[in-house]
Amino acid sequence: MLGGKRLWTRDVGRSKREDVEELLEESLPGTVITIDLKRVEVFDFSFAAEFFGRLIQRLPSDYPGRFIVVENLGPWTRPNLEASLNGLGLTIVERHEGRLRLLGDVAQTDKDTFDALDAVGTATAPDLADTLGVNLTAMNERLGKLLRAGVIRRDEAPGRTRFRYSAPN
Amino acid sequence: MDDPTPLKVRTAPVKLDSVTFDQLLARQDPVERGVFDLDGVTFIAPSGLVSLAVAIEAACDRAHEVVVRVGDLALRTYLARCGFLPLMEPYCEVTPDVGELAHMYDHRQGRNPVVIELTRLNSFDELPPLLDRAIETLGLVRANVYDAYDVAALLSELAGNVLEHGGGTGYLAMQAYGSGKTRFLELAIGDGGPGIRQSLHANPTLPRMADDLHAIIAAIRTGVSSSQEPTRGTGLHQMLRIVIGHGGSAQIRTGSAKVRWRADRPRGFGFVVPHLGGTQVTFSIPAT
Repeated sequence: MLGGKRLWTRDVGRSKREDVEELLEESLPGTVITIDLKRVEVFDFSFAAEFFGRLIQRLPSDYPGRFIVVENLGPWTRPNLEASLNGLGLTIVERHEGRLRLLGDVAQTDKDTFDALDAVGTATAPDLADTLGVNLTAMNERLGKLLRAGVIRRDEAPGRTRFRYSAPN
Repeated sequence: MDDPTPLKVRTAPVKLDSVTFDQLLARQDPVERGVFDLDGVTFIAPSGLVSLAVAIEAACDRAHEVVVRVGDLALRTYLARCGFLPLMEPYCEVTPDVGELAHMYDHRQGRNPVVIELTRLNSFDELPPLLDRAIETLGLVRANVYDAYDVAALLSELAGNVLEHGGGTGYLAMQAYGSGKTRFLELAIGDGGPGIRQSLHANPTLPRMADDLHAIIAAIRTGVSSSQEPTRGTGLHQMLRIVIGHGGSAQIRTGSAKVRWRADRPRGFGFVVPHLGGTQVTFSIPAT
């Protein structure tokens, strides 16, 4: 649970981000860290940029294979977190009514790909290409984008298909 | 027959706000002269209060003994009630002498439901109670609490800019006006620091700004900041998004330029203005 109803300033964002990074440091690939905003009424954009922005930005490079999922966004926090992420060109996974979805700077094709992967939990690029009716090259590009955004994970796979992709779950 | 009475040319506007304050600067050059003549002014908006406070401090920095002439008794009383007189006492002399009036309303500070008095910002620690108060005040003006959160988030963002980029201190004021469908809220915040242009020049990855106008235009774009950190530089962009989304207007003034945005002119229009150091931001939104 993200403590504090009203979260102001970059310094507060930095402090809370460091708390989450401690958890990430101790976690294994596949770990999902959930940030619960149930009690949060409002934050400023410096807080959002420092906490969410830097956390998400560092995730794929510093903590590969770990996931950040946000939940219990409210009528104010949801659109303003989305606006903040859009401004930063970043994407986060949101858990809403039990389902995962992408929030932030994300194209419809990215959402479709993520939703298709989340529906099965784990899949190969050819599987997803078949499911969505796109060619393999296009699917590899989509998955690469989602991988760089830190919202899916990739593991070595046996056989001819080199990789399997997984959504946070 | 010649009239022996010398013709007094009024150099102060009747209303002092983000538009007319620049007329006062142009006509009186008060920062250089050390004299602010408000004779004839009957109303000061939060933007006028903040700009006046910043300009008075700038005049003090020039080793002037600063005088502020306030001929209108009602205005002198307002300046006491809105916190200007007690706050600016160390920086200027108000004439006619205000005497006990300066502190007559000290006990009421923080209690007016539709006003945040002229407040000096000194540290980030002061922000949380100030923002809580802003939310309470706004809750009385607008029925939707999320609108109050919008304004408080912007206030926090702008105050952070003052404290981080504006030399570490500044001023803010807020007031709701009108009634019914014409009710609106104005919030002003400003500093006498280095200004946007000098602040952005601290980032070596940004091109040199040709002038203050170009600096404002650059500063509202996401990612443009004095810092090279990739998550910086979104505050002013978000301010415009929220203010325009509410059907309001905003102005950013720095140095010798200002840009105004309105909901019907979201791309903004710029002006060259008399120089005043630092950055002053004003926004107003309908209160319904």
